[in-house]
Amino acid sequence: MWRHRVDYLFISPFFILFLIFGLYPLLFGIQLSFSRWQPGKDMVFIGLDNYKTLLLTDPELKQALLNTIVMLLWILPTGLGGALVLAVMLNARKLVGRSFFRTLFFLPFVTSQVIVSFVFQSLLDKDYGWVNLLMGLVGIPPIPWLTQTFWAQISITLLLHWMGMGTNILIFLGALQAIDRELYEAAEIDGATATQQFFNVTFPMIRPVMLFMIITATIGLMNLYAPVVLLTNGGPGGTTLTLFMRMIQLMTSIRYGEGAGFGFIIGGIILLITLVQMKFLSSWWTVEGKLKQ
Amino acid sequence: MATTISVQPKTKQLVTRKSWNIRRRLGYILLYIFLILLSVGFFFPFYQMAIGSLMPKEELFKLYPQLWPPGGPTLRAYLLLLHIEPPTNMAYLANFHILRYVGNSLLMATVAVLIQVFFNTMAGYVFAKRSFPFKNQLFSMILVTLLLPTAINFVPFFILIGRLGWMNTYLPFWIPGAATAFGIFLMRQFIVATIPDEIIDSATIDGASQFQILTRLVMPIMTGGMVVLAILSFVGVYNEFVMSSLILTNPDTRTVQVALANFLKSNIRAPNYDLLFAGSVMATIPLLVVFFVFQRQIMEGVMSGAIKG
Amino acid sequence: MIHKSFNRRKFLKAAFLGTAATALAACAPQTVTVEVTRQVEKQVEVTKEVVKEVEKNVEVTKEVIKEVAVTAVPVELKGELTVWGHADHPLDNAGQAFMAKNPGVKFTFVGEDGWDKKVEAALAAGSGLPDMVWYEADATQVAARRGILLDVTEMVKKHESELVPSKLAEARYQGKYYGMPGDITPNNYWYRTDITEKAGAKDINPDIKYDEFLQLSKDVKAKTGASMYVMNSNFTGQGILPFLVPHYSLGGNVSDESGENIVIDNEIGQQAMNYAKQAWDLKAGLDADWFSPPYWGAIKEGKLGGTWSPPWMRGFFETEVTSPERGQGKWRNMLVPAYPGGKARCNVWGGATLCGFKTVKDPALVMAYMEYTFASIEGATVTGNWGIIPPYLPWLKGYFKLTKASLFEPTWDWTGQIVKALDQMRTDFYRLPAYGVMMGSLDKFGLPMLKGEKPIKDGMQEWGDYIRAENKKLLEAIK
Repeated sequence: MWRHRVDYLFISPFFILFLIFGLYPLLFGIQLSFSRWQPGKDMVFIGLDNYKTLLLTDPELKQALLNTIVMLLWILPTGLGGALVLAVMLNARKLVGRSFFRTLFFLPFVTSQVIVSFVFQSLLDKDYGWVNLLMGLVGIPPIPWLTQTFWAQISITLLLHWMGMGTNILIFLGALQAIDRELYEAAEIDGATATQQFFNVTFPMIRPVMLFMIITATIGLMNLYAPVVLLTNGGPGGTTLTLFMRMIQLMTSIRYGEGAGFGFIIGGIILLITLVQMKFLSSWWTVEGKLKQ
Repeated sequence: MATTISVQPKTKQLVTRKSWNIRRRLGYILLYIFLILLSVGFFFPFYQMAIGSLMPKEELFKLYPQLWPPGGPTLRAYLLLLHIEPPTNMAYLANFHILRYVGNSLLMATVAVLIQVFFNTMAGYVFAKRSFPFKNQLFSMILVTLLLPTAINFVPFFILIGRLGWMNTYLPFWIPGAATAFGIFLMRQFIVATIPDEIIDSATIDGASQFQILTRLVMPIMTGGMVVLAILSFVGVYNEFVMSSLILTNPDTRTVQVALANFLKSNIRAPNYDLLFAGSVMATIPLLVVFFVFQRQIMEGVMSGAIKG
Repeated sequence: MIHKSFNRRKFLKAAFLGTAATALAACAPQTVTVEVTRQVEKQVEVTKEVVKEVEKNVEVTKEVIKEVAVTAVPVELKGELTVWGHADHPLDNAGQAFMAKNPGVKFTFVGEDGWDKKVEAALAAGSGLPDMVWYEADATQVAARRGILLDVTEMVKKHESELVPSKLAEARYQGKYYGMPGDITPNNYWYRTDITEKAGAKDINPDIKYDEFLQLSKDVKAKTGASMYVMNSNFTGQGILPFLVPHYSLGGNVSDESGENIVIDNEIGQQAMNYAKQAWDLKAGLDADWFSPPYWGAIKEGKLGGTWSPPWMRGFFETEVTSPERGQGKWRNMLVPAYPGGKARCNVWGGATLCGFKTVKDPALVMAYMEYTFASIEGATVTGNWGIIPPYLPWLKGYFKLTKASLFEPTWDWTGQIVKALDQMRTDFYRLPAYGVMMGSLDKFGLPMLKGEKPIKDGMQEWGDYIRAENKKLLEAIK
């Protein structure tokens, strides 16, 4: 061990910081979730009361969970599916301007959620926004983008796609470019159409990346907070309230113990969803065919 | 814009086994139309922000949005924000110092990046090139922390920051994130891929200390990888909002994101979207500069980071 | 002591004389021309001007006015003060005026959205709190129960008889005062005369009944396209007034005086929601989020012809309504339309309390600022000019009349209408912790009832149960 002291020293910052800023708050959070506490007062142990209240009597938990899952069902397939389709398009062999498109789609990466929210608010405004104006030109009546549950969820989806699509496209492009061209050539010789090539060659090759992205995107969406707060503030009528927002709400309505408990419930939900995804898509871990390198 | 269009070298290896038939050409035309339309859609929010900042307030939020200000663009919003033109009837502007907020954000992000890149490269190097007891277990432990949802720690983390007396300082953005699981993982991947073992071995034989190997050998070779990590974390810290809005409550210390989010509501009487857009443009410029200077590294970083995972 | 011999009788005398002076001033042509501007420096001048004008017109007041000026000047004060509240704030103006008076004081107002979250964060962290905040009535009560507020009983007691009683009650908990009563909100109905004129009849009958009002709204909407009330599809912001006004008017409450029993789902509550639904179903309201750009756009374009409105709204309106085409000088205010069986023809919406925290460095300085802002003629003039109604009776009974409003018709006695509403205010209306729970869940539970997805009786019951449960949890948490 002593021989490797320098190695341990080099990796120690992470572990030291994790102990202080990761593990200690975690343990403190566990204690808090079994207690009633507010700043300046003593902590009172109340057993499972916080969890009971949350799981049995908190209507917002159900609402927020439902909202988050609905948004997840919106965002995951359209986001990842859309990115994959775009990546395949950008990977077209004779495409001129590939890097231009790639850069453009990736550009929103540098913007902040705060600023994007301003811009989207103005674009999606029911009466004054560009989107409704343009849709009006083709005869679509004005859509209440931010004030009706369904459309508000779509608006949030659009915003997240605009911000994140470029990154997803790049990741998929990376995966696609790693696929050996010979596989396609072989398929072409066999007379496979473009669609057949996609399902028989492309998709099986990128499944691990896809799974990785599904899992990370799910975790990311479970922590969805800033864009929703800034765009719809959970409205209308709490129908875009997310889990993370509810947790902050609990904390700021002085129910710290419940807030901490809520954090663990979110953690449990994420774990559960991730496990389900991994179980159902376990075959996706393996690549059929061969990679270039 | 047209100048940035380039032909990928790979397309030169033309596959001419099949004839370049009409159907395929039609397909490409449709593809271009689709991509161009989508590009317009993707670019439009940027355009809206930029042109909105050049429009007089009266032109924004009219019943029919304008593509171009009818009276020609005006720099008034910028002049007002920068206090070059004295604000009339807008007392709150006198206390809004956009350049200071941008400066705060740059300071916060730059220091965070320097700390992060150093410690993550250090740890990444050890995990990539050294062998020692429990190496794999320790590395797995680091990766597992990636799965910990931020929600779990949010409230207690906050209380901890307060107890450390770090409210209204940038320390919460510098210290806890000095070594991150993602950063260590990314740097390890880069080092494995770019630095051959032989170089390190020979340096060790020459009697160089580990610290010397890290700073004199690994880091210079690894600049590219370090830039990728630096930019990813720079963008992340620069755009951070949730934590900073709660921690940086003092008007002098707040970052441009916090300041702008407040600015939206800070003039309830008259939502000055022109000023807001101008502020947004100023806040985004540093990132755009970084992006265009390092776009190759960023995009390759994003592409390779995931594929090797 | 900051406060020198403060003789209430003298003060009331001053107030009386002030009123007399005002009355005289109003008779003489071209006397008081007070230019109301938003600029703080000017506001201080305005105050001086008001005093000067009164002095000029009525010799007798001279002596008393001087005394007012003397009593308002505290001993030399030093230190720093930070106040948090929503942005664009009368407290900022008052602070600037306070600084001008006390050069040794550095006053900072941080006005931003979500400041309440920051307060909570700072409390949890144990540092980073400001000196004072601008708490709504229910938040004041919550904070008082938590024991985080500075006890200012001694200072407020001195002014008890000079402050509006219903406002005092909102700052009181268990016999002690935990804040300085802030603005009072005797809400009115406002309408724009150029729009009603276009629709056929300029004046609205001051005794208009609610059903007549709905009919009128329908007519005006049909004839001019303008809405006579705000009812947004989110049921938030100003859009909740179609419920809050009848609820207050009919004698409704969220909780009883103890704050423990929830009564929102009683018959009054159901009836109020019924009235709100009538306004919703009429589809004649302005559907724009409160204070959003489209909202202001609608006001500028003359799409809003009337609205229930708290007095403080004027402060926000006047910066946007800047020309006669936009309705400047075209508005009137009046008592709210009468609901059958209604007790009060007004309501309360907003109106906060200035609270200090227990942790403040210099309680004396904090109290001096509170006193200056809401218990001195000068402070009340500054905040009153901003657009809120300070609860200071000597000011209300006299100087209030001098407050100019560019929004209303020049000949319209708008302050008189507010005073009328003030007389209608209920003393049995409670804004306790449960009130906050109600406000926070109004849209969620109200929308299904308005949309007809849920019968009002069931919907109110469900909502009542929700508030009951949440209120219990909240009271438990802050015990």
